[in-house]
Amino acid sequence: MSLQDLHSRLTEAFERRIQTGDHYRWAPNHPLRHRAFQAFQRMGFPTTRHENWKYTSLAPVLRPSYNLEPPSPPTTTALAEHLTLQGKLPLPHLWVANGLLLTSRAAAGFQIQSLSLSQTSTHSAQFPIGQILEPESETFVALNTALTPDAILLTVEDAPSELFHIALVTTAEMQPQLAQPRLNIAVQPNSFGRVAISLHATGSHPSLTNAVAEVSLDVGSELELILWELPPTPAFAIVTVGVKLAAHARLRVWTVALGGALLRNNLYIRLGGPSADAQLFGATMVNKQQVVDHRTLVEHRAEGCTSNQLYKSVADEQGTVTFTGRIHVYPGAQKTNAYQAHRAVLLSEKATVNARPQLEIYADDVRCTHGATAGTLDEEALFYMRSRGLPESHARALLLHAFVSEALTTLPDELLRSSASQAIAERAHPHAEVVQWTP
Amino acid sequence: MQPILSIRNLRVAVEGKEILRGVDLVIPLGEVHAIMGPNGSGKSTLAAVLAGREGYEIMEGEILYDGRNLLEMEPEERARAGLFLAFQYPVEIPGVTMATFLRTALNEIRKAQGLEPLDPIEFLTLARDRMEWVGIDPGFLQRGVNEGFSGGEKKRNEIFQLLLLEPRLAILDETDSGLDIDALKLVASGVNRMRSPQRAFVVITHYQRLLNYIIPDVVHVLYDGRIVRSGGKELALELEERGYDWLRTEGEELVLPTIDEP
Ligand SMILES: Nc1ncnc2c1ncn2[C@@H]1O[C@H](COP(=O)(O)OP(=O)(O)O)[C@@H](O)[C@H]1O
Ligand SMILES: [Mg+2]
Repeated sequence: MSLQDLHSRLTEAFERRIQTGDHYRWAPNHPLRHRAFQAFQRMGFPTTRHENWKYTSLAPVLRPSYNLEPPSPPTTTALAEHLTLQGKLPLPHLWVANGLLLTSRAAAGFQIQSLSLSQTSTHSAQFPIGQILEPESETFVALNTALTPDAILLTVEDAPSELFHIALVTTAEMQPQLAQPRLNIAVQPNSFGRVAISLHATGSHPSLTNAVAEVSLDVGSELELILWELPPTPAFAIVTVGVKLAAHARLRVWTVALGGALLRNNLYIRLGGPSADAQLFGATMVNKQQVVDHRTLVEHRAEGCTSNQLYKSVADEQGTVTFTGRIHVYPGAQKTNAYQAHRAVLLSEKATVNARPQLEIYADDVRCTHGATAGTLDEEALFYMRSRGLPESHARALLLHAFVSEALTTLPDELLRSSASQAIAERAHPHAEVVQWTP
Repeated sequence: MQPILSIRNLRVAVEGKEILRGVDLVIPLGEVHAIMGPNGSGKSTLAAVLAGREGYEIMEGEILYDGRNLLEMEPEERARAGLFLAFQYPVEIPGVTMATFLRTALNEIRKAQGLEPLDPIEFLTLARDRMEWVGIDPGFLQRGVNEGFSGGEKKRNEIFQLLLLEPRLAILDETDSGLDIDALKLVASGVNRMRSPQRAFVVITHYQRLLNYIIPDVVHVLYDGRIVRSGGKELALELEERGYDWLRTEGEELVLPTIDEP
């Protein structure tokens, strides 16, 4: 299908919704929807000429003839079965299928609300959509804002110990499917929460998940966010997460990107109040023709904030990993500490790693470091291990596992850490037991 | 009985420079041989070639290990056949735990011997016992391989692995350097407990100090890429007293005619 067709089909879909006024979905005729769709039409889909898409071509992503509306939802049993195939994650609290809330399970300290089912006035000043990620900011945010069938609002209060798991699934059993889930996470003042968002795709057709999440951390609150990205091979996903931190808030994000055909992660972090802290970690492995593209933007807009980014990537075969990390220190954001590192291992001559740090510093009392390395495995270590009897492939796998896992050592959840470790091990060596063992 | 190791006229070059210039060496099972020599004489090169490190050009000669052509074996095959090198400079491997690494190594070697793998409990019992022999804290099993270990800890860790893997031929490359006298005694007593008619040791050292505790059957002097002298344990004492310089003239006189052969 041509890009032109996709554009016109998206326009038809938008107009059809306004006319039918489908009550199932939140306010199809809301001014924000119009604003967003206009923004989308103005910006269009980016090509590699666009600065932010320099290394990642969307051509294969936009080629399939996607079904644009959510098909009839799958059963949760089918989904649960599917989930067990993708690592040992805790049972989801929330299933979002093709952007629609499918089922939810209560958890103390977490409030769930579906915008299309709730009585919230969509015209109040408190309307939570589009506050952190404005539709004009970029195409995929605009498209999601215009066409998402629902928005799921999650509020975190107090300090629930349970990890809240949101599973986003796109079903492509009958035909290629576009899904545009929308999340909003609000952490109340001085509260603390842990949330995992996992990406799934079913069926053998290509799927495109354009997920957008807006996250606000109120004063003194903390959020630990895990992005679990191990969808099967025909899946494309663009995940945009915008986070606003108030004073003394703390954010940690771990992105585990091991699956799919193309994954693009946009993490836009705004340190908006004094002494806020954000830490971003990424573990990425690509092979075959996989593409993983991480883009981070950390804005230091207040005094005394700290940020840290550690991304570790392995590229094998013809895989491509791109990391673009921008740190923006605004005037007045004194006493800023900002660190960023992307470390990559290339396992094949045809694999590619692109790393671009981008620093914009407009304050003077700033400590900022960045580093990007790309190398091969430590031959000395390989020889040492082999000389003690380990087969070369096994020694390699252990080294790779250790390398990638370093980005996840701070992951507090035992189950997720061991699942991630398992998934990395399987990627590092499909046949051997290489999971790290600590007595 | 067939020797465990027999090296004949081994000539090895690194980056075009000839480092080993015709080494002949025979090690029978049950014996401890010391190889002494000044810095740069090629001791570590010999050890590395025996263990199978890449980057060495074998110009001439052959090495038989237990009757097999050692130079055709991969490093891991050599280990599984019972060859062990205690490295002069053990490498740090952050993030790979000692426990993971050593249980895998031990079970690979056991598999090659037709033995059942050890389960975690059996492994821990054995490992803790052997760690005690050389005075290593069992907590080290949870750390990355050599990660953040002091120089002395790395050396003791090499000997711990030797005790754990129970090789048939163990090569110790300057294990004594960087060890204080107490650690040296521990290492030596560990090695001495392992001495057996079924096992041989090659102890490479720069000083004779270690040889007060590990008494060698034979001492060889490697000088400028050749074994210029072999003798009993007294030779080590003589070297300690007179240094290596006297070997230069003597060595050249002794050896030159033989290497001039085509
Ligand atoms: N990888 C290498 N590249 C270049 N020269 C080397 C390398 N390894 C060893 N050499 C050289 O080979 C010689 C012998 O070194 P080595 O075997 O380490 O001696 P020893 O262990 O007896 O001190 C030295 O001259 C050293 O500089
Ligand atoms: Mg040496």
